[in-house]
Amino acid sequence: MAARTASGGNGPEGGRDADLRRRGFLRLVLSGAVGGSLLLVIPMGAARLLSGAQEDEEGGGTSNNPAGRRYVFVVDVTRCIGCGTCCVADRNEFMVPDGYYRTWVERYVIEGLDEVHVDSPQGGLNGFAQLPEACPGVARDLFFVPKLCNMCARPSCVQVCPVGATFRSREGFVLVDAKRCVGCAYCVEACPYSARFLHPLHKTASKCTWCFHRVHKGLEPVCVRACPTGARMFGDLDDPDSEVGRLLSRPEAVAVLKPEMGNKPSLYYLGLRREVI
Amino acid sequence: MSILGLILLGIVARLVLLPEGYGSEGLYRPGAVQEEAVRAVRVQENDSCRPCHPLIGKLHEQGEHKALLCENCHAVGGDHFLNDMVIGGMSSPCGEALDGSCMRCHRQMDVAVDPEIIKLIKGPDHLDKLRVRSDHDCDQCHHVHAPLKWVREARAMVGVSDGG
Ligand code: SF4
Repeated sequence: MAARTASGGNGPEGGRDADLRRRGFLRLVLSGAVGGSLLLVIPMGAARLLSGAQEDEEGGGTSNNPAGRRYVFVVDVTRCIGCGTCCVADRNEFMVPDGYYRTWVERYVIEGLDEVHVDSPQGGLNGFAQLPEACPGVARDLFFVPKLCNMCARPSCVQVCPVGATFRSREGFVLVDAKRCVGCAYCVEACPYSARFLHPLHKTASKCTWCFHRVHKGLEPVCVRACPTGARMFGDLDDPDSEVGRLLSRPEAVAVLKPEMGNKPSLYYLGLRREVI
Repeated sequence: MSILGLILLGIVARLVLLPEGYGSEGLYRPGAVQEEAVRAVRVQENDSCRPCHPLIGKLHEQGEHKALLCENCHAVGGDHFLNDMVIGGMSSPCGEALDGSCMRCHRQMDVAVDPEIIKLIKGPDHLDKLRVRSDHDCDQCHHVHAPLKWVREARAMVGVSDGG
């Protein structure tokens, strides 16, 4: 406003004056912005920033991981019987409110050559006693696919969180800081695997944590422990004695969900069929 | 405002807006990791049940269900026993609820599962084949903690071999 008044008309003197003031103003804004950004970033340290970037590139390496572990989750679709015991155990461990699911089981029924019916009544909590109503015919194929957080090395949820409330810990667990979360639900929208929801009581983002609290105490995630058939497995990929390490080192077909999203999940599937999305 | 003033403003904003330790491990509050790590474990391991339930624990340990969590059928340990004290009851399904519990895993559907992984049955067919009344509950032939115990004992008594 002041600059405009001072410049008055369109004469050469007034123009130069305004130009100088504008430059001064821009310089101030720029230095403020640069200074501000630096102040936010300085505590990270350049080395950590670089090593973090490198880790992401490598899909969750161990350079920034004090425990030196590379945790992965493996689901063997051929072993899942759709009992839903995993979902009940998860509900019990985390007291998940009705209608919300941290983990769920999907049923795929293939009729004829290419008719695919997918359902997950109550997230599979009560098992799958009946065939889906939409599918009265004889199933050519029927299988169950347990779903949970993919613990991506490049998580979309972390990228979109405006307040740094969702993050990937040094051990590779994507977690939510409920104290910082403002409940904007950007992360809920951003997750390509629909793993997140807004907790109806706390009004903050919530999701499967691969039972970080249990793993921290040397226990398995509760769904892994509860599964009667061993369809869910968890462990350190770099531990040659771990089942997941053994499984993922064999020349077997291993798949991740939606690889085209570029999220680099740490959740792998054995025996995944092409119909699964 | 001078550059110095802006930097000062930035420092104050940083102190006010960023939580303690932010940036020391990554772009998050390190305390959040610790807060998640100390969350209480509600579903317990079977070892925590055995001191008070040694007999059933031993039976379970020797039977085909040994890999199952007690809490798969008996609700949540964390609501039953805490700080060396019984704080609540534990449910044990019986009758139809028990059958439902068994059939949750053992119901034969059109899904192809290796019989080595789990034995799947079609409810009425299974009873028909063994000439058992159709209103029998599972635990009238199977000890739920060691499902083949009574079956094996009965077979040994009458001298028949394992017929499936
Ligand atoms: S408990 Fe295991 S077998 Fe049962 S639904 Fe879950 S993953 Fe499948």
